[in-house]
This record gives sequence, C-alpha cells and structure tokens, in this order.
Amino acid sequence: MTRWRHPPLVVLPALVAILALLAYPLVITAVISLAEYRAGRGIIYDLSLRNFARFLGDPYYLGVLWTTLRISLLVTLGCLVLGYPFAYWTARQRPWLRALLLFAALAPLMVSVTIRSLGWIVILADNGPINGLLIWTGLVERPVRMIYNEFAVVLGLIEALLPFMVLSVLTSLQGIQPEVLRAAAIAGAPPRLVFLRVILPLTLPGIAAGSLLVFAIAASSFVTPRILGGGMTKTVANLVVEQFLVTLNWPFGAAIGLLLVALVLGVYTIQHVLVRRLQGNRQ
Amino acid sequence: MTPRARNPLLLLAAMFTLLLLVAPLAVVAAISFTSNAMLQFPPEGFSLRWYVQILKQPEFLHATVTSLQLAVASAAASVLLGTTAAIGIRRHGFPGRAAVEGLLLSPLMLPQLVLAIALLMYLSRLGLSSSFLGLWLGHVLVTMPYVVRLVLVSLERVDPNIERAARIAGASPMRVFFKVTIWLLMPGVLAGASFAFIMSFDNLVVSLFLTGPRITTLPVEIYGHLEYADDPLLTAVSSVVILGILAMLLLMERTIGFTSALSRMEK
Repeated sequence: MTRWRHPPLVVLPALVAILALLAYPLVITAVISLAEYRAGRGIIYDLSLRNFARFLGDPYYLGVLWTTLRISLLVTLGCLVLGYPFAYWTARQRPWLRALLLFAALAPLMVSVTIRSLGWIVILADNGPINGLLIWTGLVERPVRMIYNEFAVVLGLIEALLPFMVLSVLTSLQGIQPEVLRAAAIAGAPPRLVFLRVILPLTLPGIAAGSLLVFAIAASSFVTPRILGGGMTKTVANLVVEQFLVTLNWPFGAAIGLLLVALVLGVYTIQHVLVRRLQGNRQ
Repeated sequence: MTPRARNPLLLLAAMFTLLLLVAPLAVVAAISFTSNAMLQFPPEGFSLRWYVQILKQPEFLHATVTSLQLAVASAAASVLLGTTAAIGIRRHGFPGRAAVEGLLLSPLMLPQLVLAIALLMYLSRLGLSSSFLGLWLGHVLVTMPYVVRLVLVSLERVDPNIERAARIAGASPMRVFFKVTIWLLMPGVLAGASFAFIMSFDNLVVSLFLTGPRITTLPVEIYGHLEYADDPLLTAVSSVVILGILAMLLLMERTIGFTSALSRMEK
C-alpha cells in the first residue's frame, strides 16, 4: 500500500517560522517596492516599477553600483591572493599546528565587525603604527592618509571575509589524494609544475566557491564601508540603509534592496554552474 | 600533501595573512590597558582605568544585558526549531523535502540587510519594532539556519545501527529517541547552540533596524559610539567581548571542535 507522505509535524514549527519571518516579510517588501513615497503623505500604493527605473536610470546610483562592484572585486582578489598561500601553507603543517593556525584564522570571524573596524581605525590612523613606521624609516615625511577612503574599506572587508576564502580553499586542498601528487613527482615533475598542473586545477572549485561567497557578502556589506569609509565611500547597501533610517523612503529602499538580492542570487547561480562545470571536467 | 617544499616566500605570505587577521583584535586589546586618554597604538603605560570606566557607563551595561538575554533566547528557540526540523527532514521521506531544507537554510544565502528591512516593514506593522520580542524574532530568523545545518550534518554521521540495536533490545521508539538519538546528536546541537548564541550576540545588521530609543544591543551601542570614537573606553568594552567569545570558542574547540564545526557548515 502506498500512501501519501506528508511532512512530519516536527518540521512544521520551523517551517511556520520561516514563512512568517522571511517569506511574508519579503512579499511585503516586494509590494512596497512597487509603491510610491511622497513626503508628508507617506506611502501610496499605486504599483509601478518607478523605483527600479529611478535607480537604473540615474547616473549617480549607477555610479554607486559601480563602486560596490569595484570594491567587491578588489576584496575578492585580495582574499584570494592572501588566503590561498595561507591555506596552502597551513595544509602542510603538523596536525597540532594546523589546528592552531586554523583557530587563529577563524576566531576573528566570530567577533563583531564593529570591534574589528575599531581596530582598523587605530591601525590606519594618521598617528597609527603603520604611519609611525613609515615616518620612522624615512619613507615618507608626513602621515599618509589611509583611513576614511576606499583603501580602508577594501582592507577592512578583506580582513573580515578572508576566513571564508581560507576555509573554502583549505577544504579543497585537503581533498587532494597524496597519491596524485606522488605520481606527478615520480613522473619527474618539479614542485612548481606539480603546483601549476595538479594542485591549482584541483583546487579551482574551492577557489570559485570561496571567491563568489566573498563577492556576494562584500557586495551587500554596509558596516565596514560606513565606518572605514567615513561616509566617503557609498555602496548600494549604504543607499538602502540611508533610505530606511534617514530619508524614510521605504519604497525606494525596498527596491534597491531587491536589486541587491538579484545581484547576490545572480552571483550564487554563476557559482553553482561554475563549480558543477569544474567538477565535471575533472571526471 | 607533497613532501614539504620549504619556500620562504610562502611562509612570509602566510604570516602576513595571519597578522592581518589577528592585528585588529590584538590592537584593540592592547589599547584597552592604556593609561592615557588617547585612542592610539602603541598604548602608553598600563592601567585598568578604562575597565573601571565601563562600570560608570550604564548604557553599555544595559546593552550588554539585553544582548546576553537576546542571545540566550535566540539560541534556545533556534535549537528547538532547528533540531526538530533537521530530524524531520532527514528521518522522514516526504515530497518537497529538498525544498523545505533549502527554505530553512535560505536566510544564510540572502543578504542580511534585506532580511532586516523586510523584518522592519513587517514588524512595524505589528507594532513590534524597537521591542525585545521583535528583536528576538529577527535573531531567531538569522540563527536558526546554523542549527539546522549543523544538526543535519550530525544526523548524517549517526550510525543507524546503534538505534537499531536499541530497538532490537526492546526499547520503544520514544525511548530510543530520548535515550539514544538525542545523545548521538548532542555535539551537533551544542555546536548549533553555540553558533546561534555568538551570531545573535554579534549581530549588528538586523539589530540596527529593529532597535530604537527604547531598546538597544551592545553591537548597536558600539556602532553608535564609533562615529565619534575618541577615548579608549570602547576598546575596553570590546576587549571584554573578545575575551568572552574567545573563551567560548576555546571551550567549543576542546569539546565539540569549533573549527571542524565551522568547516562542516561551509560545505
């Protein structure tokens, strides 16, 4: 006898919570994004795509979008360049040291981004340790401005998102069978060639997954750009915050938020296709 | 891995990355002991005056208490909802199982900012913005997926033969669940609870939109002070938080393995 299996009751509480706290609020967001905000009169529900058109038709907002994409790209590259060697080196250490290094690399992920930004404010300050070092060595005469600009934002985001890249690359490094590397060495390949022709291709899925994760989070970040950019570097996420907490134009803010979702989901779709293709090639 | 190629450049690059990761927190901790009133590194002298100062600032203490209450309440709700859901998904075949799993994990995929504005619009209609209840609902939404994920992984690793043995030995299904299954899942549940606690305690994005004049959390309070940060008080507050989280992570590492739990979650 076959009978229709319904979801067990134990799944229901969580399902209801998600539908009530995520699905329904997102529907509200979508509806409000189609409404219009008039100062003094509030939100008028006349359902049009005006807010989306306003964002996509205004050079100022497109400029902000470009800044966001540029920062996210730089952060992704930075995480890759800094994270890969660290993961590669960590993977070769003795187990106890590997555990220690991994702990040191991942623990900062668990501390609020506000606290880490406070650290960067001090490090990058005009009278901070980096400028102190530069002046002491005589490389510069006056402090170099390193804070409240795009450089600080990119650096802060790299530090915040590095753990994701390290984790992703390390996982794919540890998945490589030692026999493969031994085979390459026995066949006479020098270490550099083993890395370029064997290790690097085998870690491409990890690189792709880590990069797109970093890109997606960077593209929707607003705390680091706000604190370390000092209001000078505006990202799409900052626009959303501004619309919601300052100008109170919720419809326009909701529309920008949904465009952000489209961007992030687009990135994840690319990741999905890319990782699948990379893994398919291997077989 | 290959027989170790000792490349000094590689070592240098790895050390630089490690420095980059640790430096901001180390600097914050160092300055908290400064004896002057400058937010400057290296600190001068040694004193505990900024720690004493915290006790004279009621807003930080209130915000910390709120954050702790919120983190405990969110972790508790997330564990209840997430564990039951994960068991339901793994142990029962039903159509749309993958869709339910995807839906429950989706808050991890979407930008938290968007979750926050959606919640703000929804909760303000219910009159719950800037309330503990509203904050709690928001935090449960962002912490529950961690529990679901970690318990799902745990369930996959449980050897079904152990439960089968208990059944054959005559235990009722209920008894098997409460005397066997729950204990096998404990590492995953504990890891989920700890992550939920930390993620709630640290949360700024959702809290920023759901707090207000009546209620605030520690990260929001710190965020508000950051714009005119000019004395080391903030570093003392932050150091206490860093120390607390570090202690919790070390405890996790020794008992259930924090780094391995984190890597399981990424997959």
